[in-house]
Amino acid sequence: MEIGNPKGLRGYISAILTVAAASLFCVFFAVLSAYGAVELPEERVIGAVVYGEDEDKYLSPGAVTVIRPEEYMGELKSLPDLLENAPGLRIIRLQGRHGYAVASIRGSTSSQVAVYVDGVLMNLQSESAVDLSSIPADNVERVEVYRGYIPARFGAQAMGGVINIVTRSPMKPETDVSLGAGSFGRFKGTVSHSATLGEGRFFGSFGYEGYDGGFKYWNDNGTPYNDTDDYTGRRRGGEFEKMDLLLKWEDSRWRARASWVRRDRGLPLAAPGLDREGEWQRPHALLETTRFDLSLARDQSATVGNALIDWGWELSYTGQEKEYDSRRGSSLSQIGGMNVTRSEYDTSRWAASFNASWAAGERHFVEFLGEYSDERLDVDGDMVYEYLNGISRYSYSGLDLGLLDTIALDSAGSLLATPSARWHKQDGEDRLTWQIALTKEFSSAWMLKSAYGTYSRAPNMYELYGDGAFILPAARGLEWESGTQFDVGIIWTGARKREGAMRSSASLSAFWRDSDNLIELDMESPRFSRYRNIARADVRGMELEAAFDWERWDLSLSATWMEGRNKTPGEEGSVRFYGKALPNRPEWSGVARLTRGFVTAGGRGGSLFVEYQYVGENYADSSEKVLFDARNIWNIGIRYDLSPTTRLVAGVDDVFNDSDGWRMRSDGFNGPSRMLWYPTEGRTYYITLNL
Amino acid sequence: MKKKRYLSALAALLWLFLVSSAQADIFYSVSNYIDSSVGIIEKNGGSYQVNKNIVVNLGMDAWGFTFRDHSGAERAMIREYNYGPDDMVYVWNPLDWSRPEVNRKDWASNIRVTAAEGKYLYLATYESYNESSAAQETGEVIRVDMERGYVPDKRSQYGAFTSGEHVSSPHGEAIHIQDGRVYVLFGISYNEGSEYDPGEIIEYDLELNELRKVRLESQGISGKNPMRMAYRDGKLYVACVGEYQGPDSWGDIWEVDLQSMTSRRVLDGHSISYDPGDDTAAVGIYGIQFASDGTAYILAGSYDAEYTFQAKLFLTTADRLAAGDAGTVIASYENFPGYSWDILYDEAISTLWCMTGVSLEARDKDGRLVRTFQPSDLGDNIYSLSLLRGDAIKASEPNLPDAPTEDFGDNEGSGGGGGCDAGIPGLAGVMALTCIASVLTARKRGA
Repeated sequence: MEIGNPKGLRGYISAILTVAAASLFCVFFAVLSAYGAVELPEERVIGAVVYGEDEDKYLSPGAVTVIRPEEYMGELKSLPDLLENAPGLRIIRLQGRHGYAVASIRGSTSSQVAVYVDGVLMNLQSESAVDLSSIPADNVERVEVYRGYIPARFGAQAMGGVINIVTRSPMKPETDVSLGAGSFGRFKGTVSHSATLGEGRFFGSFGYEGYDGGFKYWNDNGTPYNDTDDYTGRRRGGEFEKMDLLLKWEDSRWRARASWVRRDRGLPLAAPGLDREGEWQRPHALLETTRFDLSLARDQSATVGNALIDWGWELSYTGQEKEYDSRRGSSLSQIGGMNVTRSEYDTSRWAASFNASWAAGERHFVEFLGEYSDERLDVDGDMVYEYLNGISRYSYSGLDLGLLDTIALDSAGSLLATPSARWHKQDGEDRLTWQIALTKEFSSAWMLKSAYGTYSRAPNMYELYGDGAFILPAARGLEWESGTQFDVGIIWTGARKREGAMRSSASLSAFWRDSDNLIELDMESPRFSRYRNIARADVRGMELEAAFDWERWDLSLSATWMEGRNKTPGEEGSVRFYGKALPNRPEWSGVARLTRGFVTAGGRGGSLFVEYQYVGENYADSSEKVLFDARNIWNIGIRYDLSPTTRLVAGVDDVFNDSDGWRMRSDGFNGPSRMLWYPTEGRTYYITLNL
Repeated sequence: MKKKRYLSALAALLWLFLVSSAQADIFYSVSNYIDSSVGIIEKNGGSYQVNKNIVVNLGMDAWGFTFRDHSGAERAMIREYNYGPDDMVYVWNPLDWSRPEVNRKDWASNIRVTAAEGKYLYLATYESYNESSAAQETGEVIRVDMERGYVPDKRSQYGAFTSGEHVSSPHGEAIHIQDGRVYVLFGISYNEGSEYDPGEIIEYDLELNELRKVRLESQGISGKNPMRMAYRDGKLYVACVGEYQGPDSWGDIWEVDLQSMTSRRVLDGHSISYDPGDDTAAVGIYGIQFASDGTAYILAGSYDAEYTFQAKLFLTTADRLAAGDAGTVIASYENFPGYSWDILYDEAISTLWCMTGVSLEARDKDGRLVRTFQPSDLGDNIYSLSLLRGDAIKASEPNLPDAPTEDFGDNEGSGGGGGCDAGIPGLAGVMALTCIASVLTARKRGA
């Protein structure tokens, strides 16, 4: 993997400057915080609901799932791997297990899912969706997945849902080191340190991860009817190198954050017919992505009359450089189908937000968020003059305003109504959407939630102007997407069995959502595509989530049933899709994980775990002709505490090598069974040492 | 399952009776760019029977061809281009779609066209076959011995060459066999395919020895980016798009005399543009066909800046075309989506088939629209078509899969797709029974 090139050197310099600036940043505010400390007000209480207690169900009046990566520490799970534990969320992976990965929530498009990391929006106008594989999963305290009702603190247009990643903020000084290795050249190392700095806490981490991806697999040579020419293929499916740096400082009022991520990934060609027996398939292009984020926020309070208002502001800056480059001169080295061999996209985004919350009387708690963002995209490379008429700069500015009121409808505060309104403006257009949630807490064990709302999303620059490799600029502009959503769910929470233990819980919810004017990628030929407002879709489903704790056993479950149908009305060329299932949306999916703790005779603790993941068959195309096989993946592992501060984790993913048998099959029609375009590596082993 | 098989067999037998009067068929491929599938359209008297999704899951980019093999039997072929050095090739006996007779990947890269002569099948390709993972940039003509199991036994690559200050890359586009000679049309491009030199036709003998060559160039004008050609009376007529397909690409039609191997331009695209002085009104020639009586058809059009297609279909005669007269406009297409544009004349049923982006039209000899087949009728967007004479299907009971031949649940807003929409009273009852059989046959999901 080549990262020692001029582009890489620039990346390193930016990293050094980022570290230097961030360090000064943090020290400055640490010193500043020593002056003028403000005593925090007591938490406001409405009825029996206490905001601030670590109870997942109170994070939102709508459906929310919290994933705690610490439970999977040492298993070398990426962020997409972790997110697959959330019901209603589907990870769509392109180009293999470690390739580009996006999220679909309740059948949404991936561009409808907003992703935040420590309050910083990761979605850029210059990309179709957030590539989850590029976000580090280390040092993440929790991942919150919001579905249906979107709390006002998330200002982005999130028709599908919100993924909020909260990184660690250790309460005590500590240094952690983690080293892991796995099959096919997988290596991961992370070092983190937290300390008291001034009046606040500092946390810093650096991580490196590499993956060669060289694995063998069965290749049908692209001739599914001819077994005599099958062979064992070898490919480096999605090799990559990634480095990430995170620096945080926070006290009771200030939050400062700087992060830098560099990821170099080899883009593989599709396997059928292109890999060669006896040769290692090399990537046909390299994708280098460098991203850095800076943010500064302040929270404080003010008294206005008899009302105590908590308010704050945040400034953030994001810079991303993305370069596609092919390394060979043949036609295979073209990126996409438009004779492009190199494309570069540089994005810079500024955002400023203001938030406030206050109790308005005894029964109202109001929250407000206003955010302005400005983004600029500079494009360079082969496609500027070929397809963008020489235009190399695009800009975007948007304004979001959101207002939410939590209303206690009874004196006990057990029945809450949470209406909210959001207004978004960009490119001279604006939309007002609203939502309302009802929450009834019958007891500490039982809760009912229901939500209904309208949503909208404006087309982003990526959809409007393409990517210069595979996606043409949109014809005649794009309209905003719109939709409605409804869900209802029941939540049970058991009693806490022992001090510090999580409470057993279970939830079951049903949802319906319909989307109009969906901006979908329309394949206009095998070589290129274009975004168009061509789709309307209806999705309905059910989500089950449960966690049980008994003696030394822990069981967690998540399951989703979903039916998504294309309901695009009769438009030329799209009539054939009406009533068809949405592609890449399995009807059934779920994860079950069973853990058994143990204590050895020597007093050392540990646990054994087994995990089963099921993804039902789903369509590869929009015409219901070709299915991806269902996936049944078993993972097992063991954790063992070598000492109070040292833990060893080892395990096997895809124990039964299920992925080796995945095929694309015709659904009820006459046709062959074919291998996947991007085979996955199958059974893998790993071992990790955490210090 | 038994009931389903019985009903399908009944439907097949009845369909056999139905097709006994069929004169000719169209073998077509469709694609949704994730998957390709193939189907057959039969014309029975005045009605059309569409048999879609006969075989599916054929990859993203599948073109269909038909030819007669070494024994004279008709064969249907698919080439699946995988953007690499070798296409996947399937050859079926149209009597049996359960499994192709041939499924290989050692023929060619990006097969554009085929033609058969005796026991040999000739291919013209855009790129060259290469056993390594790196494709070559230029096209070739390949001979396949069908009698020996469809083994390629001769290749002739037209390699890159220096032309002035640039290196030109030839790419095979069309092929015609006449009087023991193989004529291959090459488009010549450079600058990563963004610019073009004049096209060429090379004459080979049946052993693929190069004999003569003619350039589409005369008196300072040249025919560039040629895509199609049609034969008539000792001459090949070549349809040229012009430059790189786009809003300012001026095309033309060239006549190549096979006796003298000389070329001349017969039709200038400027002459059929609504504004010959405006480059945004440029037209390229995307198709040319002849009927046996000399009727000629021309498809001319261009992509606008947003890559939708504007086109016109002209009706003229061979003699008038030779004099530079494109005749009259018989159809206009504005803002059509899709990239499959071509025409194909079926002499046996006097039908002009027109691929119009994503749909397919059937027009009579005078160019009048008889039927439009939407993607919902065909199974997906039209991608390629070729003629099946139909003899093979009439010869014995067709071996079709259990899946229904019509997808009645999807025919919303379509122009009809045969089946229950039969146009011949005498066959209405039979077609109705086919409908019932198909409706009762539940589509099963894969096990």
